[in-house]
Amino acid sequence: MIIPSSRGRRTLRAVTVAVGLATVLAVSTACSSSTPTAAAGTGSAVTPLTLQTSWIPLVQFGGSYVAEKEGYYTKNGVDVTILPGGPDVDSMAAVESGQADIGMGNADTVAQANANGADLVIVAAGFQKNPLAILSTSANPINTPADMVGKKIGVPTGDEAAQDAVLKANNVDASKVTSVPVGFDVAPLVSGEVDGLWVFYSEQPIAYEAAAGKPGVTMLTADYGLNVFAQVYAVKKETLADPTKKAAIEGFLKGEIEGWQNYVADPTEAVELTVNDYGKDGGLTIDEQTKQAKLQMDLLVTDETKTNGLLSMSSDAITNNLATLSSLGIPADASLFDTSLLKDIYQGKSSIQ
Amino acid sequence: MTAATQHAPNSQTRTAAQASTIAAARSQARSEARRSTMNGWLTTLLVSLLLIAIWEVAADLALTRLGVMASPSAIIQSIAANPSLYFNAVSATAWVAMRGWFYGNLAAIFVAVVFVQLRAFESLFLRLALALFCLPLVAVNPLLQVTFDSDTAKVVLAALSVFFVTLVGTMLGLRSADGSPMTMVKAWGGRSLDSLWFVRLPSGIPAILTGLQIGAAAATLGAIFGEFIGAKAGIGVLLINGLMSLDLGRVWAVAVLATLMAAIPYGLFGLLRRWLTPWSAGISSAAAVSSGPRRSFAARSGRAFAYTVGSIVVILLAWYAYLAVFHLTPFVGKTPVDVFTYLVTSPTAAAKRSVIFEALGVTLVHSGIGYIAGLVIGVATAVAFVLFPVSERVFTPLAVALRSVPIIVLTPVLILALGRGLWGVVAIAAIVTFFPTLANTQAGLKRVPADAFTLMRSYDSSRMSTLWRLQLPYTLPSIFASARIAAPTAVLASTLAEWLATGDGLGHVIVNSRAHADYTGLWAAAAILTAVSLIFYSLVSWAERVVLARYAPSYNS
Repeated sequence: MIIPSSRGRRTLRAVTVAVGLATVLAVSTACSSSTPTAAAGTGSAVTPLTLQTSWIPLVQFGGSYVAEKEGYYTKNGVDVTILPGGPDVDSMAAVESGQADIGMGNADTVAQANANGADLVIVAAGFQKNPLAILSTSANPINTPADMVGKKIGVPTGDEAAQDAVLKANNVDASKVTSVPVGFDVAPLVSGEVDGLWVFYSEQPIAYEAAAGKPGVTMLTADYGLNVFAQVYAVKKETLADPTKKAAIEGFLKGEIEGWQNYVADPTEAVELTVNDYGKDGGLTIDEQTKQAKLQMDLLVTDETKTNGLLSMSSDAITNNLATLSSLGIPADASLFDTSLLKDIYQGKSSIQ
Repeated sequence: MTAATQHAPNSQTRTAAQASTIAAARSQARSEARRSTMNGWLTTLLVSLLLIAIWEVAADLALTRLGVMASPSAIIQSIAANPSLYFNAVSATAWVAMRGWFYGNLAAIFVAVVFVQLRAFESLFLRLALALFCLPLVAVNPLLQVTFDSDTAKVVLAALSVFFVTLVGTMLGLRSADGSPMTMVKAWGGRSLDSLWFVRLPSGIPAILTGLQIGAAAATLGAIFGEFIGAKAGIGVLLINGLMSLDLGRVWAVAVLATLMAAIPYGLFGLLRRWLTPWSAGISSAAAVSSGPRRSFAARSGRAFAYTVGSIVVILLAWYAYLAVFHLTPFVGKTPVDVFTYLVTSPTAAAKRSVIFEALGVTLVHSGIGYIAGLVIGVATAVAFVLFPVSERVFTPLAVALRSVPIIVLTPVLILALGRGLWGVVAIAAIVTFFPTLANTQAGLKRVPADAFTLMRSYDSSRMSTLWRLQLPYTLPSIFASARIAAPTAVLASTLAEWLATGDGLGHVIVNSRAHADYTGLWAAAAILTAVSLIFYSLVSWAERVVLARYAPSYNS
């Protein structure tokens, strides 16, 4: 009967180890969860708000980072928590489910969500131009949608409808374009697997240039009929029905606009905040993010924003948006946009101080 | 040593000369064994170094330029250039993985005890647990995002990834209690709880530890995948940025670190298990189907039917309970009735059905071919290892390393290497089936008792015949055990690859539904995929019972 007794001792040892491990974990979990989360007990009138961004931290959200760090939000009575996004995040679902107060997305994703039962409204538009672009090589360039004929185009999941819309708007026969599903890297273009690739205008072209050693050709779909705002700010309709909450959203937008004004004047601070603070664990480089920040100006700043201010939603642009949405087969009308907050903030000026 | 043995008191009729010969032979055998172990380690080391050298040369010559693979030196450079970046990423992901691992295993062990003590619970709720295991990650992720805050969502995902395997392993362990100690506890008037504490738990420890060991890798996968719903730091964030900027050194450094994160705890728990429970060397890492008490065929099928219906009701109730308990907004949280309407009664139902079933066909082709290929190649490789022991030395380190690569990291890397065609997806499904099959088959082949070999030798059986008549039948339970767990994994892997690479199949339907805010479509596709995985798993279990009853009747779970 030697075995059972040694077995008993071993059991005891196992139990001790298990209990020890459990205690360590339980204690450390308790410690970490009891850490107070950024107590913002400065002013009594500061309203907490949560902003769900659409991707992992990049200079794409640089204006928001500046607004938080420079105190533009708190100055306007709101304390904003910026939530990072990712490839699998749905900002609209986050807003609709109450996880976030404001969600960033494209006009078409907001309209899609509403078509499926959400009740959201767009209060401002960060990118006046949709950043969806087609990247090709300089040896085999795609400058216009007509150049796509007979070519193999890499389309990520979710952008198929956009490709159809672009081709249709430019009278290109969709059956003459081959679509290949891709992820979010430029490898298929570098390796020659595809002739063109759907990309984010201010991101992948930089990676392509670095990998291929020479710049590619970028065709911005916004120049060819895909007129939807991108990086819009969407909130629940019911939020705007409550005057206190509406005031808080307006305060947020004021801070946001100031942040982006700062960015447009000089993106250095936004880039540094992205690389060294908000995205410091993402392994980003100043060089790459500066290039991205500069390209992004094309999306943020247009003739429209020069007269109406950043994040603007002019009635012409709204009409164009609705036309594109209908070509994408998404039902929407002008009630998708609420311009009253922007009007209130700008008071007819083209910038705020 | 020989001298000492010579002078030792000899109680038997053996002469001093005989004893000395035996002792000499023993000591020679021992030193030969030592030498061959040393040679083995040396071979393994040399082969590993050779493989790394080949990798380095191949990467430098072509693979890096093609955007496929970074060389080992580029990986080391990438890590050395920014060690704190990688350290932060690994610790962020590891902290989520550890908590998920802890809670997932705790819940699994608790539920296993309940199931073993109360058999009716098992019959009703085990399929629910299996359904959770079969849920496609691509669908679970966005739902968890709106259910919990982002940190909790990641921990829950990691916990879900470890739950089922530990549950099944622990149940097997608790049930493995020998008949006689259990009888003894009963004879001494012990109650069910006494036998649980004195017999079942001690004999379950090795299996529980095996679950904890396997769970380490699963939790890492869950934690990385959780970062796809939003994270500031972690291995997944570095992976996304690395892919976006096509920084191969970074992507491959992430792959290597993620592999180490899975492999190191795996190894440590293996050591811990051997140290705590040395008697458990032969415990399989995967569990066999438990055979219930024998009843008449009619009674058995009647009960089976009742429990199947009961399980389906339980799964549907759990679905409703999830929506109600977490107050999921109806925009995201769809009920079984919504899904039924979407697929059956709504005016667009026929169109939706055809989209989903066509995609299901594609997914089944991907996972089916990959699964069978993975099984066949896995068993064949294990057999080759037995026939040509030198090949085992050569390839085992490679196999151990590759099996720990989390699939979310493996998929983009494999797409870079293999392209996005049908075969890329099939290869991914095959790989996730191959490694557990290889490991389990190897372990099974090693457990064949020495007596049986002696018997085969006495009949002058050839090596092939021994393999075919003795070793493989003995190994069948291990092969099936891994085949069962691998079935849903192959489906999961296919859907992941369909999202990231091929853009077809149910993986694409699920992601596309989310992209278009069509959450009913997401739930419908996920429900069908889960049901199919459940059926897939049940078919393999059924085949397991039939085959084992025929070829390994002596095998008891």
